[in-house]
Amino acid sequence: MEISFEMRENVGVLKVSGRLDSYNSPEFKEKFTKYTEQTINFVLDLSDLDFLDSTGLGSIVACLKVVSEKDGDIRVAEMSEKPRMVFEITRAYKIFEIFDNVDVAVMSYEAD
Amino acid sequence: MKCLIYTRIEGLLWSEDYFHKTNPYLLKIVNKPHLEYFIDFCSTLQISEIRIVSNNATNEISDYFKDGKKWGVDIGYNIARPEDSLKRVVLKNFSFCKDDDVLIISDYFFLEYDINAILEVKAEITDHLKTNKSKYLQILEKGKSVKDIEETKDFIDNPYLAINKLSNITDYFNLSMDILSSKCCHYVLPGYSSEPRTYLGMNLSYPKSVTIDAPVMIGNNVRIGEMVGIGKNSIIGDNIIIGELTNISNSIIYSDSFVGSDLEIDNKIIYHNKLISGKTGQVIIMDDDYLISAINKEKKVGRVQRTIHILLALIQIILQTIPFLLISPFLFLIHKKYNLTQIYYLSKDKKSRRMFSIDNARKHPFIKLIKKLSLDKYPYLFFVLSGKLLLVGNKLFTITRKHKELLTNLPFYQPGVYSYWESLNQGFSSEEEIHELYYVNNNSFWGNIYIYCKINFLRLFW
Repeated sequence: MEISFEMRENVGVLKVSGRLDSYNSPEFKEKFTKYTEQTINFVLDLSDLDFLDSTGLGSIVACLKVVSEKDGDIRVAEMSEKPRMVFEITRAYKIFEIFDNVDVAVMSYEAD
Repeated sequence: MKCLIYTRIEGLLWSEDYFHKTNPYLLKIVNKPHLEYFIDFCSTLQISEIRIVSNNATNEISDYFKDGKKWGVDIGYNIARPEDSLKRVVLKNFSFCKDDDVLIISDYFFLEYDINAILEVKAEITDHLKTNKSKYLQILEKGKSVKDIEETKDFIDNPYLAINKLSNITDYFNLSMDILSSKCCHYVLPGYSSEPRTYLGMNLSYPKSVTIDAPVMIGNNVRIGEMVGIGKNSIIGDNIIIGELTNISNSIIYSDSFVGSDLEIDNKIIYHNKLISGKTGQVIIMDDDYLISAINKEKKVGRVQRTIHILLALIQIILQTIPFLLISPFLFLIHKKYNLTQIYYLSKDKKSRRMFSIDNARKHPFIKLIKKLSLDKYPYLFFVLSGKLLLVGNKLFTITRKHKELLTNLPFYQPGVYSYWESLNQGFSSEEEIHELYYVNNNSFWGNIYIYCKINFLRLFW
């Protein structure tokens, strides 16, 4: 798993590539916690995420819970089909706002 | 007329990619193996003899279809080399083909037909296939040479038949949905059909809170959790567990799969731990067991349960050692006359062992006394200690053809010294499979303890 992070207009854009599973979920949560020192609004770019399992999804939900408590949000963008299927069957699409473009997802915070 | 089916599997990489543990010709389409649709078609045309030729090992196919009696046809098998052309295969099976017209079915495709329509126009169809040949389906008339075999034309212009090439996973998904939603009466589909377009298998267990909407197909040995919704166009295979609150619609849950709780499955195929999009064929393989997974056919018995089985066996050994030693000289004498041993299956993969058995001498008054005191169980208890048997499990089946078949049909088989079957006291051998399936799907720790106590009580006081 690779994670890259950049700040765009007060929104943290977090690009996760490769696999997000039980093996690397702790690393994801640890890095995410570090980024929350800079912002509470995130866009999760999942365009290069090849694999997501229940633990991986659980870690994203846990991160959402952390930022929600501080009135922040995580919005998901450019989700490739494999993780999208996991979002579909677990109904996770009901708790995340999902955009097909990272820029639009970033701008959506401005519009709120 | 006879039929030769050449089950070539070259070029079927898509099937191997998605369903790697399943022979493409046994891939279930609406819970029925693909090849079985061909067999039905042959039966409808009153073909009585079929030869299935494969260019890989035919074991899986022959294990399923056996001699074909179940379908009212004689099925034989042969093997060909992977590079063999259709003409070559016919030549290699010439003695089968020479004395009658032969319907030749070749390559991987799905034959779309309406069984009711075919029944009315059998002669018309056979006449048509003699002159309008396709590489998939043709009739080679008696006395004609293999040169007359068509090997290139890949379509058929027959008003009653259509060829679906099934060339990818979406073809498979769409075909399955199409059959279930609008063509279920065109084929013989498995299961009971108490309501229109609803097919239910044996050993289906679901609480009242479950909603099921037609058209739906549910296979054998399916356990559905509370508040599950089985929506329209759902095909649930055999040996499936579905967790509570899950909704399924427009999807195929392939046999031997587990679907977790609170999921929404729409337009998907679930094959063991593979989640496949029915629309695009995209697949994701789940490594963890929470969302979806394969059903482990060797059901795990928890460590605690196994320990309790061993402890109970130990206690019983301690109590029975002296009485058994006292009666053993008499048993030795009876053994000479009745042969107090039998060979039993110890596992689903047909491992067997010769063991003590009182079956041959059960009417002997002395054996009746032994049975009353459960001393006949004594030799088996040591197999519990060594882990080869459970204290309570499936019935120990003797080696017979019928039991071999029964074992194949059970999702798992872990025999025990005591069994649910025995606790019924007066079961009929024709119902063995039903009772074993019931036990397989409903056994529990306390249920096993109940069986153990009940059998010992019945033996002592009945």
